[in-house]
Amino acid sequence: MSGPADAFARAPLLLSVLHRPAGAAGLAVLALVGLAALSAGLLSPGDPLDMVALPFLWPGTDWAHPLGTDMLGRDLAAGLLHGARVSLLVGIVAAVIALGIGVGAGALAGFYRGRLDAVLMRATELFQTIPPFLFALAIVAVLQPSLTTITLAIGVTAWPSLARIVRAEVLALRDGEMVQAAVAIGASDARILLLHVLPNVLGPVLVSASILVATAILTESSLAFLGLGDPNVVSWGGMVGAGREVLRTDWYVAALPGLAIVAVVLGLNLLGDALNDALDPRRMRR
Amino acid sequence: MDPVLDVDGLFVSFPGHGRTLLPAVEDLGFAVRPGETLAIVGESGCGKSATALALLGLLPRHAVASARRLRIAGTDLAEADPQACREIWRRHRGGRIAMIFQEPLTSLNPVLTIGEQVAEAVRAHEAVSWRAARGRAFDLLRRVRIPQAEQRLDAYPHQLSGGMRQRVVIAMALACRPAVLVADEPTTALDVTVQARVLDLIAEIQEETRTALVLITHDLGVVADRADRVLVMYAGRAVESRAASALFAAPAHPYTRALLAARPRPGWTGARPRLPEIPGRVPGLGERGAAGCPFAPRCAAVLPACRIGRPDLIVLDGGTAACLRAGEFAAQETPRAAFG
Amino acid sequence: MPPLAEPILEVRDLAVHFATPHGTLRAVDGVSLSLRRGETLGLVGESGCGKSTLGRAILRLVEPTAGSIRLAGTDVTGLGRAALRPLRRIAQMVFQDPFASLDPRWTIGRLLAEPLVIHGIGDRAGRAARVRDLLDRVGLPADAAARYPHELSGGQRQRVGIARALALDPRLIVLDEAVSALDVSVQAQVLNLLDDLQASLGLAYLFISHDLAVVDHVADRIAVMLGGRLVETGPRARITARPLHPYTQDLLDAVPGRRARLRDDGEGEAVPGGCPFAHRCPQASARCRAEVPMLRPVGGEVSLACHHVALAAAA
Repeated sequence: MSGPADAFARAPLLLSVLHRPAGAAGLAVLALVGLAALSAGLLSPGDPLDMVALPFLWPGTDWAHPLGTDMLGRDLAAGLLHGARVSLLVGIVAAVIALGIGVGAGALAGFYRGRLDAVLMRATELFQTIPPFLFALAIVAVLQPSLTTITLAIGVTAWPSLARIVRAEVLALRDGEMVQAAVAIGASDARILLLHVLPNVLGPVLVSASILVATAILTESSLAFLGLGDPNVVSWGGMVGAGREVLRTDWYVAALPGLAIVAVVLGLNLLGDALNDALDPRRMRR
Repeated sequence: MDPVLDVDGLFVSFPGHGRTLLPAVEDLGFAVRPGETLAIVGESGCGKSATALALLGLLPRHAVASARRLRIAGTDLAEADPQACREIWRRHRGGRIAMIFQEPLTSLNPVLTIGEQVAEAVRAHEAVSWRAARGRAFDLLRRVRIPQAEQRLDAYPHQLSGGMRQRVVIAMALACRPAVLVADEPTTALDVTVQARVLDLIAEIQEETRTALVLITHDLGVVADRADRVLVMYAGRAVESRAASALFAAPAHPYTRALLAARPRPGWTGARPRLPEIPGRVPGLGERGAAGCPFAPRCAAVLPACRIGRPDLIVLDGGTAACLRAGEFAAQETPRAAFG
Repeated sequence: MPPLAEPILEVRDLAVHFATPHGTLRAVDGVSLSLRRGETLGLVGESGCGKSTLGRAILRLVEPTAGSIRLAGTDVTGLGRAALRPLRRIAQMVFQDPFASLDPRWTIGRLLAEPLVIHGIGDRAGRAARVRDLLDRVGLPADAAARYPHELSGGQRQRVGIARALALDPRLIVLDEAVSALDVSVQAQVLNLLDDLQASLGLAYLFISHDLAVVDHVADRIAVMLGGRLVETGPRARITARPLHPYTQDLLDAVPGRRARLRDDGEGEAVPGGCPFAHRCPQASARCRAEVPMLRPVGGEVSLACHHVALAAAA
């Protein structure tokens, strides 16, 4: 049975994602967090690490500080807004680093196979034998925690799974007629790889990218929670870590930034799921 | 002898955009007697595979099917309610009616041995011990002439060639002595020499068991070799339904004639002949509402009347054809004498 | 167009071997053939006989293990990718499945212009004009340029595949099962198109197919391939009227519509070091299993690789 010819037709990706409840919810959460990050300077000017009021002000008791203050009298709302900046920045930049290494290594390994593949894949396996979080922890501990070292550490430890995905996709395309046809008209390797092969593995890469950002945000939070965050900036993980000691009496100090982490990670995962569905030809919208 | 498969007024539709239903098969009817071979022929999109799936109750859930009569080995499924239908089909499949698909690999389980799968097919319809079922499986493999059947019982599907795999699928289909065998392009994925041998095998088994065969194919050459009756489908409808000998001697529908002529035949001499083309293409599922004969836009023999109403089935030598000029064509010799 | 004398393609003792976990696979094992301008050589054989690998090796899409390939007089066997590029303008390829060979994310216009971009032919306007011309040549409307492969029918996609091969004005096109996936009526359209293009452009075709009926229709000469070797070659009419090799006879008998019944040949394994047909051949002798028969002329421009030449030729 040949189905209708438009079985392969795809709606624009963004539309297709928005049509799915998971995608719409994920994008909404992320838009909110993005907005918070952008408006942090506007809504709460000044350093969020400054002590601005009495400590342990519960949320809703003082409208100048709607979400209350922590044990040092720092405004929690300001911390959450500025923390969104740090979380998103670290998440996105680390994901970009991981994408660069992962896609690069995976594509080269899959496309050239042979010895290059063997070398790159052994390196990938080497990285995969060390739990990424412990690896990042070690790097940050050695290099002194700062935003740059944290981001780098997360980025260079998160790529191996992506490299494997990209390699598998490229390998499948490598022997296909599309690549053969391109070779037959005289296309260079760079042309084939950049213009034909990589655009066709974009789907799985996009899905992984959203998960990578979520993982990076979680890793940064975990590092900050353990006290290995950048001491000069406020971060959600750091806030949770600070609130830990007063968890029994003033649990909101840890719970509010914790909730923010949950929301953004959930949002990214929902988006990843929706992207996965939207890009799956078998479930493509007719 | 009464037909063992008797179909009348079969409709199959698939959902389109919004709430529309796109017709894939319209008002199809045919009957097959024990031991007879009916070939359903047509190009992709003509509805032949949807017909096969409808016969087995294997249409996807979103498809909508109905029939005035769908009698398989004495039971009319058109009279049963849907729930009862599913039950009847479940009992019939493999027992009364079995199907062979185009790609044998997809009908075989890669992690079970050949012997296990054939034995399971035997046990699905007969209460026999595993030991006895394995014995039957061995007999069946020998029956479909798989060499070294003893060893092949313990082989996995990937260890066999395409032709051998298709023989295993045939063995499984035969396990329960079906009254009707539906074969959907059973040899299209195979090499030509293998194809000929597999078709020989099916014909031979059919002769012994008097199984009725519905052979679905795009290849008129295969039809000429194997079929007793031929049903030519175009855009979801039967355009010609006749005894093979009559059809190949003087095809009555212009589409049948065009299909026969378009296929290259070995043994030309002189200047390379130009293949007669059929202009245009088969209308898609969504393009089939128009009044008139569905083939009219591509037909070389079209009359003004063809575009006004659907042509009725005209009774001819050996069957019927849905063409206003069928009588005229059926009286002519084929433009290029039939195959062979 | 009558074949001219100048060979556009000369293949000598070509071998392509692949290393597999089960040992060396001799996909192509010592094949020689030549093709003149404007001529069609039909290469026929079953799946796995190496015909596709041979076609791809000629375009250097797979690496030959031994032997030589000359395109328009130039030995291309050892050339690197860059040195090969100018020769891409001489020989092109059409694949079986245009859905797999055309990038689904590119428009037809961009796909057809790509060979021109790579070879630096024309400016933007010139390329656009050339794309229109190519579409017209293969019988597609000009507005097809803005479409994507999935928006076309199978026959139209194969026309795009042919147009892309024509873009560089080649003199040889390797057609690998180019009409096998098409419906009969569409197949006829594409075969006629190929015939027209050959007549107007003087193209040489290496037409690879498993279907002897189609090969017989298009070819001037036929080469029958089995187990990586050519077993019979000769003028088309001669091969299909009087096949000498028992395998060619089988292939012909298997053409649907001939009502021929084939012997059961069981299914053994080819004997290494013997004739590739020995395990399926009714006439096979001990010699056939021990010694590979060489392709030898047997008169009438026919060459045959069979130890029973005299017997077969006399029959």
